[in-house]
Amino acid sequence: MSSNMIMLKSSDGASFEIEEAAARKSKIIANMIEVECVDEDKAIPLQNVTGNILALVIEYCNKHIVDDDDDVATEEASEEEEEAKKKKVDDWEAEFMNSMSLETMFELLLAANYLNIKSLIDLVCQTIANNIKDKTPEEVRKIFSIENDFTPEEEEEIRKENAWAFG
Amino acid sequence: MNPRLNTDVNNNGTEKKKSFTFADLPTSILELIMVYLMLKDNIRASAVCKAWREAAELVRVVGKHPWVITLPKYGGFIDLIDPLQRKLYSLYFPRKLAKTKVCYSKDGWLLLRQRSSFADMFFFNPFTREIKSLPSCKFYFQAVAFSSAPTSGTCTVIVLNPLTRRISIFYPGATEWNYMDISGPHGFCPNEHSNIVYANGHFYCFYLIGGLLDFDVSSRTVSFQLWDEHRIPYFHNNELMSHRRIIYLMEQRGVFFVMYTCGTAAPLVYKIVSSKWEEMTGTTLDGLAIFASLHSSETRVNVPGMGNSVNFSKYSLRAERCLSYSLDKGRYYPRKRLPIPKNPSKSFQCPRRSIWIEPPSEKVLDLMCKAKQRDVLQGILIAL
Repeated sequence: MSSNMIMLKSSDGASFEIEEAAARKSKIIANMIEVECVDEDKAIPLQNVTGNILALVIEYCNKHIVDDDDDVATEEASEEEEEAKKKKVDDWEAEFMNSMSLETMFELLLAANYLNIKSLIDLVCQTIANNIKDKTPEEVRKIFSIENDFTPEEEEEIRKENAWAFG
Repeated sequence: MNPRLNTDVNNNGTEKKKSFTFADLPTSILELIMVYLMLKDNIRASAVCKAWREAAELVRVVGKHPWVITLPKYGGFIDLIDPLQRKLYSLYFPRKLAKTKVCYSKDGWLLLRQRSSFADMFFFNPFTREIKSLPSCKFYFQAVAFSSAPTSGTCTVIVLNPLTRRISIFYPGATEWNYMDISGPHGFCPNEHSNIVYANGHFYCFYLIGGLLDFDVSSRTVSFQLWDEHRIPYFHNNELMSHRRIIYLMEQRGVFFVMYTCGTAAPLVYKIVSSKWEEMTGTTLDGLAIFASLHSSETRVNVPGMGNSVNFSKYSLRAERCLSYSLDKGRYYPRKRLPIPKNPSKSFQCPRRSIWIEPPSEKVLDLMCKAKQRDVLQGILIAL
């Protein structure tokens, strides 16, 4: 396992050091490494990601790179161990998302999308979806601060089309 | 995909965050969120704003629900009901089939048997009125099923007779039945069993004590999956003692569901995961719709307005709807109780002559509607 370190620089000028293996969770950074446009002692500038969000991204990547290592070490792990490990990751992810505001989630999602980290995109989308479940459109608008841009007629039509879903 | 929004976010990401709004996410990202929503939540989300509506509708999957078909007792017309649209269609039922009973349904085809026999069966397509014969089976059945349409070339028929510990199988292309002995496990109780389910190349039947009988079509072997745990409800309820307990087996994406009904008591639905039984509620059923009948039962996801419910094959003419039990509300619909059969050995929820069936295609339905008027006018005059 390579222990090369890479520097990342956020849009607001904060620098972060990260293991190459963890940074490779981002397809964009992995590509940059592949085509060797990463200078050993120069930080990669990430113009769309602020420092506090980048810190979260790095926390996620570090956590998941450790788990990948475990997988290699215990390839013959029993089903029970596998399950226990999966549960540990799930618990960590739940805790990680739980401590976040919707605004942070929103920015984290954009950052994950920009850096192309598939598993993080999925995790954030799933968490956001959980916030939409079992709520009325009005409640969702309030939670997500979304303005209703339908005309009353348009909205009425959507509700009429699938009246059962709004009962 | 909305290119304007895309560039907005990508180029002005830093500005965007000040006017934090989930409506401005690119459609491609909104779609990723929407795929995690069940149909009901997807529809509600589409009423939030225009951008959400676009994304929600792009990923919306609407499942098709089965319909109820009821064979007449003495020939005449078949009732075909779309339980969601509450529409009733009549199909001509050839008089020569009058003395038959329905015993299984799959892919738009029915398996019928002669009323006087549990061994003489044939296939019938109620929409095309095609008939496909089967040789007489040496042993009468307690449960029977087939894997796919008899015209598919891969249709296997299985007949279970656990009382005599025998399975009869009719393989695709065969000219006669194959017979096999089964050795049930200790405590194997052959009397109470579920309908048969066909899934992923296997036939399954749940036995009250023995667990799951599993017939692998490709290897032609039978085995028992013994479950560590069993739930047998309604045992100590005096009121229900005299009523017949009916067991239903369903499968959804490799997971089994066992359901019990007894008299007018609430149906009990269990999900079985690694032989552990979990009683289902509206929340844990997660939008799944159950379609139950005496002979075949199935589940569907993303069916509008029928999720978290057990939909029975009993149709009420007066209420113009099928009997259903909502796990969310914990009660039967329609509200007015359907008459309880005087004979407690009969099912209150599922008449013997009714079964769920794959609905006909739009084209066939259109033809049926046109033919219906003619049929109704000419009625039994139609020669066959």
